[in-house]
Amino acid sequence: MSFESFHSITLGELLTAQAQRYADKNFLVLGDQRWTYANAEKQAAALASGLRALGLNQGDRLAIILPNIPQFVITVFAAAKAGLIVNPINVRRHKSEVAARLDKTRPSAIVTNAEHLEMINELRGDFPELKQVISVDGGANAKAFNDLLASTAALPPTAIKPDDVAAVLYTLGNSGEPRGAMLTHKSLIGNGAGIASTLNATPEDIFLGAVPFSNAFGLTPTILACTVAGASLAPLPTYHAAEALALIEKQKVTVHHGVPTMFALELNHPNFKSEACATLRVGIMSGAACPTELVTRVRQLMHCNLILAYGLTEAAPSVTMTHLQDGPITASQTVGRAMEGVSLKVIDENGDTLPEGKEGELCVKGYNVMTGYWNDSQATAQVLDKDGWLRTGDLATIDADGPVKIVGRKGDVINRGGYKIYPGTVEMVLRSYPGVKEAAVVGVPDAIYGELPCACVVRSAGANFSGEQLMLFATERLTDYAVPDRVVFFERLPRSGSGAIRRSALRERVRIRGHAWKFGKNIDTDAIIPARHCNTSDARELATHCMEDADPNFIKKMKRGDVIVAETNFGCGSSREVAPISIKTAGVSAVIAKSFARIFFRNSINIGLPILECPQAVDGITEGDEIEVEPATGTIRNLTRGETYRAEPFPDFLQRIIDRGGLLAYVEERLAERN
Amino acid sequence: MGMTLAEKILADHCGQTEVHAGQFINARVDIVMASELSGIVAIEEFEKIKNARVWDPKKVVFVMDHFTPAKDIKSAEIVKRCREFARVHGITFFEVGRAGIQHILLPEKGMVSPGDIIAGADSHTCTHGFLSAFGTGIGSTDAAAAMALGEIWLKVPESMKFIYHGKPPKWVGGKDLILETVRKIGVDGARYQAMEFVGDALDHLGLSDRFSMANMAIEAGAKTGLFEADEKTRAFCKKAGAREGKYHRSDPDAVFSEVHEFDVEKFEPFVAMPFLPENVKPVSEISGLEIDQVVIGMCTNGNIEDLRAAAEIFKGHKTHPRVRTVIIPGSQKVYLDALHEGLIDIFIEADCSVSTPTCGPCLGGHMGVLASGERCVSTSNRNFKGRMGHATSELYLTNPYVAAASAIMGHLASPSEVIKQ
Repeated sequence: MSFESFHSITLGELLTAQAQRYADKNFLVLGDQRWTYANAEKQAAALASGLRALGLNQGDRLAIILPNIPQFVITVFAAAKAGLIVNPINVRRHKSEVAARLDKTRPSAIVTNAEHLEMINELRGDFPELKQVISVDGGANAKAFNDLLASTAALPPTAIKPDDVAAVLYTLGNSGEPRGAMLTHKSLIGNGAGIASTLNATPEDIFLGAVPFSNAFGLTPTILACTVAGASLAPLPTYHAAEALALIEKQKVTVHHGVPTMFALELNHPNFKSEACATLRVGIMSGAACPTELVTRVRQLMHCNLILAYGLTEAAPSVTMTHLQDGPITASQTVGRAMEGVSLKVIDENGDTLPEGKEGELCVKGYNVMTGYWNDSQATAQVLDKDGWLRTGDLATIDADGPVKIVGRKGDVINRGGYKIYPGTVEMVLRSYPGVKEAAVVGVPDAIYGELPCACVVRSAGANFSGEQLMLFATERLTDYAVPDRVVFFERLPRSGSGAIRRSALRERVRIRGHAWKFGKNIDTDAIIPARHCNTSDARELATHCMEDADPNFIKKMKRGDVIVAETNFGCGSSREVAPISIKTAGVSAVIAKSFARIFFRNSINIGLPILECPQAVDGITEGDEIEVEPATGTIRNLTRGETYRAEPFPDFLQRIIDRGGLLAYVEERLAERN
Repeated sequence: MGMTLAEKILADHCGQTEVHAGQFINARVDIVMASELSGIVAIEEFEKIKNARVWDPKKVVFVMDHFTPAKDIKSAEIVKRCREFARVHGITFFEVGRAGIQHILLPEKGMVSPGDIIAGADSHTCTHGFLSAFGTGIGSTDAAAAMALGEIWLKVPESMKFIYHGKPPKWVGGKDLILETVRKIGVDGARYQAMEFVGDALDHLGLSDRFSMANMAIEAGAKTGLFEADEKTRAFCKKAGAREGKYHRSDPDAVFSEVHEFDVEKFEPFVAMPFLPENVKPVSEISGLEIDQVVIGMCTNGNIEDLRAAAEIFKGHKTHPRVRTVIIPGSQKVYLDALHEGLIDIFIEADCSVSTPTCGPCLGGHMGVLASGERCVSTSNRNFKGRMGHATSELYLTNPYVAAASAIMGHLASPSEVIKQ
């Protein structure tokens, strides 16, 4: 089925067209509530008028902080009709992250719910252009969403073209700062239509809204592909595996998209019943590496013919997809072929195009590629060239007949004495070994090879294979240089909030190499700072001063991988965490301390900086010695002196805090348990 | 197996009948405390916690004491932020005119009782051990977590026992006992230990002496410094309007990692020389060293008993013409008591400046920061390089008698140089 007729319209026009075609058909279903296409169109039109009547003008940004509820969908279409640009923000973002995103696009209004009003009201002072706050369920200092739905004002003349920007979706730059990818009506609808076509979607389909609507995967393949098909959408306000399974059964869901973790959680849930998923027909698994075993289980047990896809926010998002008719290899081990209207190439470090089958950085061009990052020409120029090619930062190969394999991120490539090793390739082999639950391959420093691949593996419950057995298995299946040098077993792998493996954290859990810096008894970071610079709330500014006071050239001399060998009185007070923050800011990767000493020690743990307790190492190391530290095993090697020391292993409790990247994530877990 | 005083308090706060050294626990706290300096970072961390609410606003206390009254615009902005946070979350907030240094203020307000756990984002929170409360310094991230959860993670510390025998000679107080203790065991001597102070010498000393001793437990690296609560404690708490609290004591078979004994009858006033609190000498050995400034008060010796001690020496004397003296009462109440008792008259007549309560110069903040090469005698607790100002300035830690005598003589002096016995 083709949806080409939708390629040259706006989002507002899309809903209008579908409301004419499928007027009484259910579009949105939440609990016992139903929105037909005609209802949704009527509400979106009224909301558009209402928003403009509040003083919003064409081109203004409209932020959305809502869970997956029908009002989110109505707002997206209303904004389009009113000529506003939507900026969805994930409901899980905390205040400082929300502020960073608002700061980027400076929206004039925000649609949210009562739960977030307090935070938004606190932020309003910093964003004078944020004139209107609209809440879907009441609350102080907010306009009522339902009042706007009753608007009878006429929509002012609005000239919107398919090439106009419809949404700015936030994505993260290399250093973790948000960037706003500008996506046009055309790119979004075109991509949604392409996806609907690949899914063979029809008005009979019922989509599950499991992926957050605030990201590209939730917006295009879910909301827009569903709308283009004239199908129904059953949103799940907050994702829980049990609720997803219940909704699939209750609403007779046919299309289920998700990240691999969602499918794994559902399959492993005690409520899972294969027969309750009998209505499932198809779905997209994307957003992270898709383990073959999981794909197979979903196809068999959930009756869901998974489509694997590759995409990124900057491409609206889908770039490649497998097809329902693909053979088993393509369908399980690749991310499929380029979508219609999308061109691909793979380039080397010099930007030259590589031949088929060669590994390099994947580049994308087509109607779906963003027009740039909002108000950030510098960041745009880094990824988008004048011919319209978008550099994805992902490493891939393209086979002769088109299927694409993603082998890793550019920064993750391991260079073993000149041989490039792509972690994705190695990880796929490791994951196929029975009993491997998770595997990540990272490069660790090595004196001879520069870097060596190390496999970080989580065993399934009950599995008890050794590292040697796994390496033997890998040796039979991989080029010799790509076989991991060693295997380190983990209870779990450190992951970021979005679920991606934190490779840099993992790398530093495995092996850190650098030079030792010794700090003496006389350095009281808590005290020296106040004397001159203390009255600032910026901990990082304090950190800079702190180290300058300790040693004027400290920060300049410090290199990533270096370790601090802390004499016992180091950072005696430091209740403001100046010492550990400064050490982390300066790039130090670990601290070796004499004992579980003072506030400094707990502060280091609380901010996720590994600290090893080893008096022998402190005594045995002289400043400038080359040191290798393996936090995961507690091994400390003094390469200059040829000595090895054993640190006290961390108790599980502290390791949990470090693995989560600090105390705050642990607190959130505890709070969630209490609720 | 018997439990120490520290273990009993911790067990009582984590729902267990018994805990022992080395164990990791999540302990319920009775007070979470921060100054503007640590509070501002704690606020920023707290706001990063999704859906965080202050667990119990009555038990979260902000005391603006380090750079207040605001010494400059940046300090004022920090205090403003803390004040707004306190208002929004309804937590207890003390500042200029109603405040004092947190470790003096909270006990005085009846907010600390024996057997409590006080988690303070200030390393001298160990002070609260003078009332037999487990006070311990935490970081700002810790404080943010404790504000949300009402608990902190802890490794149960081992305990060391310090026994003081005999009657202290004239001019010797709690400050001298703790200085000699830190000298003996070193600044790491009690690293991650609970110091428990006992002995008949304590019968001759007051609560303000216990205060100075517990206050400086951190200077030996201790997690906390504790006294058993007794009738003196009970009387203090009753007067302050505090809850009854729990009067724990170490079991006879409790295990101590070390026991140290001291004969205080042989003590004389001590001085901690730059740049470590362990660098302690009897004042007789080093008297004569010329000085530029004297600071008396702040937390370590900022109670009314300490000001009485200083006034006893100053009465009828003047600060040496080359020297400047700053007196800093520990709280508004201490200030008012000193005024009523005529101590302020004595100080002003002795050419001392009397400041509003603040941590001020102790951490080189304001109210008496030192220039290069200057030498200061202070009743505070730390003398690290640059602690009170320029990195080449020097700080000598003493009790209030010695500080006052030094101010009068213009050099480090024993009180007996001023007052002939």
